[in-house]
Amino acid sequence: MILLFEILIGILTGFCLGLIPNLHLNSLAYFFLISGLFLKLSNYPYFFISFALTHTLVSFIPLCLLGVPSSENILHLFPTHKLFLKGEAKFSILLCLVGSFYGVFISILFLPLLYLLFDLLSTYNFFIYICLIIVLIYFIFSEKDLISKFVVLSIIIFSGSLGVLTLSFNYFSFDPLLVCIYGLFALPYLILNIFKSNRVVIQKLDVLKIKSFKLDLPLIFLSVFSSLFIMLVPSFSTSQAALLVSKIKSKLKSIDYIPLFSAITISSIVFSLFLGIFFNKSRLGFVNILITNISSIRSVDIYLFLSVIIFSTCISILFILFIIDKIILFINKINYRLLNVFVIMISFIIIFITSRWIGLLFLGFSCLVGSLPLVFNKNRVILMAYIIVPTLIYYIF
Amino acid sequence: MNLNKFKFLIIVGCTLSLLFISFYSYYFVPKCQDISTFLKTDVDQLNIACLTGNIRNLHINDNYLLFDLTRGSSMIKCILFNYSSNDLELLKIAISKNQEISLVGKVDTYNNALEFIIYKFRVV
Repeated sequence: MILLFEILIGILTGFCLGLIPNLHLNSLAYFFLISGLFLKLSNYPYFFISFALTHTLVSFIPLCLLGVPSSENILHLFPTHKLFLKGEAKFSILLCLVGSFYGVFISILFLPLLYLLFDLLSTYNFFIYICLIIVLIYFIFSEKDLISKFVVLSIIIFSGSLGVLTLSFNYFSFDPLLVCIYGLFALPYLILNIFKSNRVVIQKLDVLKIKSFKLDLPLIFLSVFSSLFIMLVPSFSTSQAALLVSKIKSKLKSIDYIPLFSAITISSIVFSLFLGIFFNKSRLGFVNILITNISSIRSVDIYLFLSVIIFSTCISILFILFIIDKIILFINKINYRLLNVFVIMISFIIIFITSRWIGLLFLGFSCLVGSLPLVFNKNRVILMAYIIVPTLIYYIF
Repeated sequence: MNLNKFKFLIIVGCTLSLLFISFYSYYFVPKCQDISTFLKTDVDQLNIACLTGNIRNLHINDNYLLFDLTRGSSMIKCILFNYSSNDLELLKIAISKNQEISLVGKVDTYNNALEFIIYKFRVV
């Protein structure tokens, strides 16, 4: 009963905190650690599994309605924003939930394969840095003309330098990932929205489109498999997994990307938790906090681990389906421009609390770098050099 | 895509996983404290005993390590004073890989509860 109670507490906490834009799992894991919450819970790994999954699922709501991504769901932003502008944010949230639901079940099927591949390849540093170099070269040479190549190279150098400065030599702030991911991916976009969004987009509550939408299950399989691949290479993110899927399966419609991205996002969380809890290998920051900084290591039963994942996913989706209309009605009533200002203010406060003035300074730097793809009309995935370059340097030297 | 069918699948997944968690945690997660289950040798006059089992819930302190030794649904709290970093690593690996360990120590009461104070241990 205590176990079930703690799982439900995790789901409830994840639900409430997931609705707050830009509150990253890493920051929350730090907060739980500092507050001593982990030691108060007798089954904290299960609490954290349910919390992390619920938080990820619920964070699709601010993503689809406000356009605030986290480091896990950066790529969703583009197709969901298209639907938002058509007043179909609810449809995009439903697609996220469908993709996540199937993504969780398929990722559970892939766990034995993940273990085998991880055991086989993770010790080969050569494999890791070759993959990272290939991705950086691909960013540059996927552009057609010389000027575009130069622009992409400049963005890689700027974001990569920021990554090295904040991640490799972290003398500056408490949680550089929160600050810089927000500055690179969300803040330029939110600022642009304040100046751009003169018209109010009323979000529809009926989603007739969902009936005509056909879910491509093989695509979800492929997404989870590519997510499994990125788990093998440190610093690879969901964006590289999506890139891999789009190269294998071309001619995808914008709408197909939403369940694809959500399946990748949720499976990367499942895979990270699995590797972190059972093999002490973390691929995401919050899992690292969970396995290295806690003085009380609770063992996790694999069967309970799997059932907690399924239970948390299902109950979170039910909660979201129950509450989504009320949230959309609320969003329709308020001024979108003011909401963007409010989101920026909330994020500033969170960053100030966690990282003080130096965090705000680095937020400014990363916002400037994050504006470059918008100004030069380039793909924002290139900004992932922020994580790729420091990892590459770490493995080479 | 049928949204009602999707909702039905979610409710089925939710119910089955909830039932499984309740059943499994009730019957299979060790909870009772019973040293007799672990005993490989008889407790001698000095209460020296040899126990085997799996480790759960390692708590790291500056001076000692505290963990639960489990066997089936039985569990006993064990304490290892003056541990080395090598001891800690071995126990961490044993937890993550669910390896069985063998302990030699003394049954004692510590913090008003029956506990097993370890003299030495090895991973089986």
